[in-house]
Amino acid sequence: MKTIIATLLALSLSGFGNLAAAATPEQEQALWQRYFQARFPDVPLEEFPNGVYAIDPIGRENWEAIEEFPPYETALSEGEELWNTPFADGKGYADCFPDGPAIMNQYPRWDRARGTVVTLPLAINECRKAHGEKPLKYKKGPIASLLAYIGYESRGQITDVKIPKDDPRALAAYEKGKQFYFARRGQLNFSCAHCHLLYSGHVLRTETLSPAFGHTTHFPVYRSKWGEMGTLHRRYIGCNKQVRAKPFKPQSEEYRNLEYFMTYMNNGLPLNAPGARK
Amino acid sequence: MKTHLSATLLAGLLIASPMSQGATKIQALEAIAAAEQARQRAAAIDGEWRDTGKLIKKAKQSLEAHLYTQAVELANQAQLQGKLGYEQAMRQRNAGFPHYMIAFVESQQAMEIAQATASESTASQDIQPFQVLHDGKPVTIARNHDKKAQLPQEFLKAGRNCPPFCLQPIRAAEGVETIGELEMLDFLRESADGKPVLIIDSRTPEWVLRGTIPGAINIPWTQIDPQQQGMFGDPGEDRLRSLLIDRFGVVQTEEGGLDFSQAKTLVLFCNGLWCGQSHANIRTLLKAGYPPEKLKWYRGGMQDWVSAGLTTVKPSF
Repeated sequence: MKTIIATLLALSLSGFGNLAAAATPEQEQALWQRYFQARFPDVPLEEFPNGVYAIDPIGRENWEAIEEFPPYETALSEGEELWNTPFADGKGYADCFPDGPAIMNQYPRWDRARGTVVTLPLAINECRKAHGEKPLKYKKGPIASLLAYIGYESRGQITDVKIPKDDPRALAAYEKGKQFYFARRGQLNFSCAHCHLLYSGHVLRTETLSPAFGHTTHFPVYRSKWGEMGTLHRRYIGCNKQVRAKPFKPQSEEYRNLEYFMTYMNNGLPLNAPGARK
Repeated sequence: MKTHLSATLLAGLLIASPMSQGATKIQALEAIAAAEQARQRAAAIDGEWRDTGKLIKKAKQSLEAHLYTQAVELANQAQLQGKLGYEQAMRQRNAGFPHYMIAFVESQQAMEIAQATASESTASQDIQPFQVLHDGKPVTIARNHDKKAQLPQEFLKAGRNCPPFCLQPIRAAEGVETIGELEMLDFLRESADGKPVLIIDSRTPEWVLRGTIPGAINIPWTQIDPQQQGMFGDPGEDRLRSLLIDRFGVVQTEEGGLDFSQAKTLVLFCNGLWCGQSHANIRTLLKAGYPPEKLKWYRGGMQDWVSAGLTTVKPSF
């Protein structure tokens, strides 16, 4: 048995050999997941969706206390109501999403016809537009409630983002998201990876930096700092501002590609949205 | 890299160049136009910084307030930010998985492979678990392979005074062999197989309560010391004599002497290199005529036994 493990390790090791040159998304995903599991050997895989609370015991105690009466509960009931309220034309979300509401693990996905990454919020607004409704704002409010409800109904689904091999544009979108993730930006010259990969688990002022592995599973979140719900792209905007880079618009191509890359990295992790965070 | 980072920070935070006195309106307009151009150039490749647009806005406000020098200064800052943002984005065009990440994973994997092969090859060399009887109950002696296992509380201490906790020499007495863990394990196996070997814990009973080597019997050094009186006033001499005959296989001759030819091999230990209790027992036994070649001293004692992660047992009542 041990020989088999050693052989497997040796094989996977050689797999990373020429990673810098040309690696496939599969190889990069394996590298990503191995990196975080090696960095946090005591954290079981299914704990990574809990973010910083998988590695910070004191933060976890507070969080567990908060989860006893989750601050996102209002959003859940609002979201459920929104989901069930028909549009002016008599149709509803269920007509756009026949598998719904437990559909979170189907997004983000590559839309071959349009050659772009479609996220769940984008799909929701496209559904609204198709039925003559005004689009929702992407950062907070009704869309966050709707996403919270969909997320809650999708809890336990496994992250499973696909990059179709027969469409080079899908790979290009992944590559753009990856470049965004690792590129230094802003006046402070930080990349996402500096805090949430290299220094994950270290303390920045009073906060422990959360590992990036698991970041996408629990959005939207109720964030105590916001005092309300917010979407993943709202969080992206906050991060970009913190390094003094000009943020992009929510659901911009940049952020959708970033979400595509990040979620693909987290394939295999169970969804646990909505979350409660500091 | 570090130098580069701080240079970027400094350049961005400080005003680019000191302005000569009294800029004109035309200079201010030109500076703002140049700043806007630099901002757009950075934005075109997703490299715009957070405050560049705000600086340009402030420069325009200064222009309207006829504060031309201030407008030029603000516009110059914005222009520099635009330039730096553009250069940063150009440098980061091919950003991807960093080498430290690959190196970290590779070193971890190399370590895992080394550990996997090492544990495979040492498994045969490491001790095979075996059973002994302790207080009539079977106990398995094995090594602890839990990598997080720690020493028990009572063996953590490093500060002790002599007397009584004096460091012991490597040899207890002439002719008495000093042994280590592997030899101790061999003697335990022999004892368990019914060979004439006894493993003796020389410590006082309160120590034994905290744990001892499975298969050992407790014969405290105080019990057989002829100098010490027993609990009921019985002389140590008598207690030693009955012990030798009843338990150690010594035969009383017709003349009232002692025949040690059938005596068992005694393996004595106590708390370890800072404990003199087994030493005391060995001296007593030698004085009584016990052949030194039938006495063995496990000098490492409980301290080394627990350090090696070997099984200990507490008496059951």
